[in-house]
Amino acid sequence: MKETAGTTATLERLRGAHMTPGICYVCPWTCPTEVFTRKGEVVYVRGNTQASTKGSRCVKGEASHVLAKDDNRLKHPMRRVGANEFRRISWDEAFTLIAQKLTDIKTKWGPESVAYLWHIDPNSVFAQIFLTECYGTPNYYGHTSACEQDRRLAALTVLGHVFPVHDYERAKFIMLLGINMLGANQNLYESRGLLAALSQGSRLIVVDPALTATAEKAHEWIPIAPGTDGALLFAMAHVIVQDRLYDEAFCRQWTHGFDEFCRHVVEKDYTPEWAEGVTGVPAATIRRLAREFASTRPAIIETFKGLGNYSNGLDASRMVYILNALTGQIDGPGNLILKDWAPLQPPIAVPDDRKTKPSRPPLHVAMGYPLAPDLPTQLLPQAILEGTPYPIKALFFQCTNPAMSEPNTGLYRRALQTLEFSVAIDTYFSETAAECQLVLPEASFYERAEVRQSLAMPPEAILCVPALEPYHEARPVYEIVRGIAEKMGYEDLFRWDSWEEWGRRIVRDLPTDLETMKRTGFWSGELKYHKFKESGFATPSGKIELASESFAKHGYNALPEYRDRKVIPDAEYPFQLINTKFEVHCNLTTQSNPILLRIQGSNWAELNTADAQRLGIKDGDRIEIASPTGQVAIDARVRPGIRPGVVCVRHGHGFGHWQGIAKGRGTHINPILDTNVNPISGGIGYNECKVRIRRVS
Amino acid sequence: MGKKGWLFDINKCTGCHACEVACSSWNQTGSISWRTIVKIEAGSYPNVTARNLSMPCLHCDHAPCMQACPVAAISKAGDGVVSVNQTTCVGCMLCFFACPFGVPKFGAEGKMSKCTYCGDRPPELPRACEEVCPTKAILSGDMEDLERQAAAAGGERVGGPAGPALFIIR
Amino acid sequence: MTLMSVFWILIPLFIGILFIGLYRNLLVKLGAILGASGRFIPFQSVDAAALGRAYADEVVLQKRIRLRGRLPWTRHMLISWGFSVLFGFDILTALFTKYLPLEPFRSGNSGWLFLKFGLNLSGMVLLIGLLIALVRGAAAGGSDEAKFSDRPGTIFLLLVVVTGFVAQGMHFANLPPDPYRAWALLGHWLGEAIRPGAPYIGSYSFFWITHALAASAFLAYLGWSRMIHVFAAPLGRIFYSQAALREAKVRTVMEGLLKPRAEKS
Repeated sequence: MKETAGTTATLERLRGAHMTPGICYVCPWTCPTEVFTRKGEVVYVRGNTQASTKGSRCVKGEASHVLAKDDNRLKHPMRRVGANEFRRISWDEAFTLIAQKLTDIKTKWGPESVAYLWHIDPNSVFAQIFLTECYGTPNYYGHTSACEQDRRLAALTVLGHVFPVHDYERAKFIMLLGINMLGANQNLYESRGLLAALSQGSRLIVVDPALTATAEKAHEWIPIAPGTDGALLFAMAHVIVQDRLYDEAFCRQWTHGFDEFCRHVVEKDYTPEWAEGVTGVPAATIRRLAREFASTRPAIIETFKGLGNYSNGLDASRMVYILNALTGQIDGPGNLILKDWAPLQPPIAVPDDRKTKPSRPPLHVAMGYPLAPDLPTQLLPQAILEGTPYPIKALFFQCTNPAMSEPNTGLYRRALQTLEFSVAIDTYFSETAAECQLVLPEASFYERAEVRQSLAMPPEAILCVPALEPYHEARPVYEIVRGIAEKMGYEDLFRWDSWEEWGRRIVRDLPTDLETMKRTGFWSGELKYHKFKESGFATPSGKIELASESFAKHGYNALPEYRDRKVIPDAEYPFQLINTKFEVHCNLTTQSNPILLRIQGSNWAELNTADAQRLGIKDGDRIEIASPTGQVAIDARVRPGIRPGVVCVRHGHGFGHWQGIAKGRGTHINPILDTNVNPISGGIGYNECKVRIRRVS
Repeated sequence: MGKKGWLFDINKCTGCHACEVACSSWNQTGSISWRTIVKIEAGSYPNVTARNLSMPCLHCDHAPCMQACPVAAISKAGDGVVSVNQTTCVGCMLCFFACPFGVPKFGAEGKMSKCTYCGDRPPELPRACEEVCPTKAILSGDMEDLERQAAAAGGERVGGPAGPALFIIR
Repeated sequence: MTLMSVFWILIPLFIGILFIGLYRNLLVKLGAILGASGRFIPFQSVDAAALGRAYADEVVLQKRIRLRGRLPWTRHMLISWGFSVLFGFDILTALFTKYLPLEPFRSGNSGWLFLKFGLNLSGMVLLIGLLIALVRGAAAGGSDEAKFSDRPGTIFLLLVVVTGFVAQGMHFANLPPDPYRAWALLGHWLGEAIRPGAPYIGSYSFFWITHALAASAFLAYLGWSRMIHVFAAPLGRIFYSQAALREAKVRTVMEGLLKPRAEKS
């Protein structure tokens, strides 16, 4: 690998440009970047060369400079004046309206009737501080239930960590289930590390009904029956327990419920033979994998969203972390890393006498999901329409688009239409924004500042310097929140002459200063392994909980169990519909990017060669996919690299609503998905869908 | 000076297209792509493999494009980099058929353009494609160095009469 | 050795140089390309529609040039079609006035007038195109458009065209006036304009010989310069219209490069 650090000055000279560090926010991995601009134009971008990215940039980020000039972007604040009509208004009008609505709602219904939802959340901390501390609503949520909700809850309850990252580079055995880390959004140093490990002879097993970009690299691709990965994991645990392959010293010292757990898997008879019947994976293979995993150190087993796409994904995800724990593969070199966070301060301090305490519990608790790590957003439309668990009167959406990306899109739109007040803050006019009362243009990551945590292994803070002036009237979220705060009597708290003022406050506890970070783009601390030896685990017992005290406390089974997924194909609907992502698309900013659309202009449904032959479908044919809920037409791709009985649709196209070059491309699959939510985590079961397929042309 | 070339690790490439976009961005190629990227899936379920390849210009020893050009618009510099004179080129497209790898690309106006090995970057810097690749599948450098690195990783030079300056690790 | 014998040596020499140039710079290379491609596409899979479209779009209508602008397109259409039609009429003239010859094409007759009309009209079209090219070429300077200009070729061809018109004008001025000769357009107008200085004996010879030598020299030049694009570009574009030919090559090579090694740990 050629060294990229130290090359910035040369590139600046060659292009007559100036480099400013940035934070890419096309997808939530927030890679630190380098932005080269000349005379107000972006001339080149790449990953930060000194940080963990080492110059790398994924295709989305590399193409993202189009954002700076995209005519399809939101330019001005707009207010709804009719069913499909918006009128341009000034920022002052927008802030006045928001302040008035928030004040009214607080008086009439209470501040808890306002909720703020985000997906791409740069500077949302300002909204969090204002809404949860000053205004008094506890309802500040992300999009996790549409993403890795089960994994997050599993990691929190088993390991006491919200978001493990991975030292793939040093791992000798890696087993991935329901995660396509090379083919969807990438944590770039992990991608590099994984492939470096494979070059050094490390083994990769990928469990997935389809041969994904990650599965391509595997020594073994296990094309498991959809939604049955939990059985595989339980059976592996069974082998490890029966053959005593666990790290007993580690388990005795650092796990809670070890004996209970071992008894449990044996009593439940989670044998490889049983699992073979469920998963389609031969018992001998399961045994071999379990033994190989347990005897190869260091090792990593991991998942992301794939398991949680089924209603049984929570316990399956817990088993992922339990397996790592059984063999003591936690937070060491070549393991899952329970990263420490950089000691960052909030940008603003709200004194106690200016705070408002909410008097009602957060929505997810009131809905009956006390353990949900994030709002079960799929239940939000019903909650709005019925006014339960308590009335919701206003919603904010920051770069999140549930009216497109969740199942039951029709219900979402209906609920939004009844909502008293709704505000979309975004760079593009999304389906969700189309249903809101107010639409506010957010500045892109080329036009704003930000200081935040990164997802690198050591504690690390990253920084984004505005490279360009804001596009038309677009504003960063910190300016939007300031505008609202000023109208509501908090102007003294949300006051700064330049972003550097709050920037300095954020980094004041770091052993560096803002000016240095404005040049380098990041500060990185020391990577410490096995931190739990000093501080334990952030769980009720202080240990890794194989039996979860949190679960027990709320009346759920403390120990994980295997359950079948809810929706299983039958004679009438013989296929399981699963979905995955393209590397070229995430959220809204990629939708009308001509570079990305040239690479991938549309989406399709993938079918196994034998299935296709039986149905008389050829590669490129137009097919109809019908679920009990609805049907859509889509292009078919026929390939050997997918399990028979499974059809896989790539998410990221087909929103019809879109203007410009994205209009009419591809097929939007969500309308045929029904609502399926995990009863404990609230995670959305996207793959709980059975379909039938026929050729239409 | 040393002859320049490439070392490409097929095992690492995921076919993500980041290299293609970086190249286009650095070299301001507009909508023309100077890289050809393919994913080839083979086998029958469940014994299926898929491999990816991202191909720039291979700056061949005996560049067939150079030999085929009727107007001698293509030349090979001392460092081995093959380039096309944008004035002399008449856009006849014959070089595309001469190149075993289909490297020459043609814009709307018809003249040939292709990978220039990021000729404006000093040799010790990575090329644009190389620096952004998430899995670091691409390596540029002197053929002698690349030969050593390829051999150490079990790779080999791509054969053929054109003599492409490419080592691959499969 | 008379001037005429030098003339009769030089003209075949220039044509010979043209053919050697075409052979060396085009035919040999084509042979190598087709041989090295490794595989042809079967005759049945020639996409005739695509081929026809490519011929119409690229050769006849030259749409690709129009993408750059109406002026470059107009200029190139004038030059290329002017030249092609002029060349055609030259052949017809030689055939019907010298080698056959046929009565209607005797000097002054209707056939002859038709030939003169054709030669002059296409020659004028060519001339206008060349003049635009000369002026625009000077104006283009260091801009992107400059890479499309061919100053030497333009000037060379202009020399050929101008000497041709002047020679013709002098020839007409030497003949008695004939109102029908107005069909000879520029040639006639020039002839009438310089009639007062007639007869032109030595200078007419000079311009005629220069024109003939310049024309053949230009043909020779064509085989060894960018002008060879008049053959190479249509050929290449017609090949390129065949998607099967393009994809077959790339696919084969990629598959070969991606073949796994015999054993993989």
